[in-house]
Amino acid sequence: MKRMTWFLVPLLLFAVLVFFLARGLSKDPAYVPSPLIGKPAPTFNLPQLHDPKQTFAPEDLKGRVWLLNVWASWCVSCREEHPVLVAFARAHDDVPLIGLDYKDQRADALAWLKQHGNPYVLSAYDADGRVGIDYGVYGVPETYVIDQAGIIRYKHIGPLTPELVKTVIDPMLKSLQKGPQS
Amino acid sequence: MRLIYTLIALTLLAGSPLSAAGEAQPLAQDPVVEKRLTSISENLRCLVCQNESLAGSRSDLAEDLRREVRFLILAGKSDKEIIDFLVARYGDYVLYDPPFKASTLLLWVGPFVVLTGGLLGLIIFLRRRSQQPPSRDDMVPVETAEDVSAIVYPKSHQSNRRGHWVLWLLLALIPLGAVGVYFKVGTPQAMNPEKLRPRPDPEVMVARLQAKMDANPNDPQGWMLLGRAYLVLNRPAEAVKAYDHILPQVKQDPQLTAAYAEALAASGDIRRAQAWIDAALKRGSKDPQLVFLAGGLAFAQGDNAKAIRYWEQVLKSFPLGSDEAKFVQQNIDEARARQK
Repeated sequence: MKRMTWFLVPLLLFAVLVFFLARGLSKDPAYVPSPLIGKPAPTFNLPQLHDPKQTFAPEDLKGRVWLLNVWASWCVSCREEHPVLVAFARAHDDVPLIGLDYKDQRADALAWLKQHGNPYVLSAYDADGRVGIDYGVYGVPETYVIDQAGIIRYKHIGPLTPELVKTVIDPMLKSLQKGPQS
Repeated sequence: MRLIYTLIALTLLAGSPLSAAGEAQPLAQDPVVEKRLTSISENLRCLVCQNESLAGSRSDLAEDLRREVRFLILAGKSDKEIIDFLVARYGDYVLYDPPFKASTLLLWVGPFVVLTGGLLGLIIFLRRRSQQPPSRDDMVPVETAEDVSAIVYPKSHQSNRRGHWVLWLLLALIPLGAVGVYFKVGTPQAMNPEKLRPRPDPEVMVARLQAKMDANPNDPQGWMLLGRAYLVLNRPAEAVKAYDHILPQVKQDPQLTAAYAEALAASGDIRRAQAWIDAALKRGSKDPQLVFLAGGLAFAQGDNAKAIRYWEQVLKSFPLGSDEAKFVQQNIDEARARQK
């Protein structure tokens, strides 16, 4: 009987190993945890895509919960994500959806929005990607939820999906809108 | 004097104005800068193609990040400051050389826990085998032995005692091994930031860049860098000269305009500084640095009310309680005190 317990040890170790490997497999290797969550959204002041004479700064939306979506006309996944954003904008009058047009040509970006529809209240035009670096952008599209105090509460890398909006973003927006510090 | 102080402090606080539109372009190539860039970026991970270092990657983002690192090198930042800049944005994940701290404990210690566990298992296994009655084949023929027990369990008592200190040795291997490997492949200096490499002399690098730019003046990015560097080094007259090479770009970019006006004001040409700021504000720029400067000029001319108005506008651009906000608030308080 005692011998049997010794055979169980490698079996147990094997089970632990399988557990960690399975976890590793189910994780997205491209996912990089952002150190920016819980920190103030980096400030910037960029010309707007549609009107270069006007600028946008995150401070313009102080006191409101809003979404910053990094996109570009050259980004394939952005096209996949686009209908989700359009639906989001339609369902959320109270949450401004701001675009950050990242390393794009202005003409291309404008044409892209014209063709696919423009879900954004406005897009800031980050031609050389410097603002993107401040936000730790490394794969477009990326989406940030920013609260009333200008704190980044959530970051999603890759295209938003209807499920994600429903299960993560909507509940989060609801709880953020109840109170600034909740 | 107060204005100059304010301007210098602002220079240190504000972000870099190197934000001209367009793709990342290699800055004036300086072998010393490039060497440091390589040594820093070899230890950083490219986030797009994660098995490549930032030095080797040809991805767009890596290109941009190398441009930022180049700039930070030229701005006289230490290696640690540059790495902190990237870690603040991308997390420890950019480091191929993660620091020894609570969240990385498993990483550094884990392999030795596993190794020790394996060795312990092996030793226990071997000891148990030697204690088991030998099989028929191993057995010494009984006729030749005087004491059967002595043959069957020859050294069991001794090996038991030896097993104890082998156990302690193995347990000591975990921390010793982890610390040893960390000192060999990690960067123990990172635990003691003061001991990190001293930063190179920015004056020398700026002089080198100046010589480069004189030889090859058709590089707007280089002039921007030089102007910025001179401002940080508190040599505003030379900063003005550098920016003079790229006035069309300066006019287009509010941050560059702010830097140029700052250089003009600090070198004594308040009138021209005012003209540049007024023109930019008229164009609708709300760049915090520019507006702050407008407030500074008003303050220097004794127009406290105007200064406060500008500074309160700037205050809105920074998160409450941030260093920038505190700094601007101090200025407002001082202007208020003077009003009375």
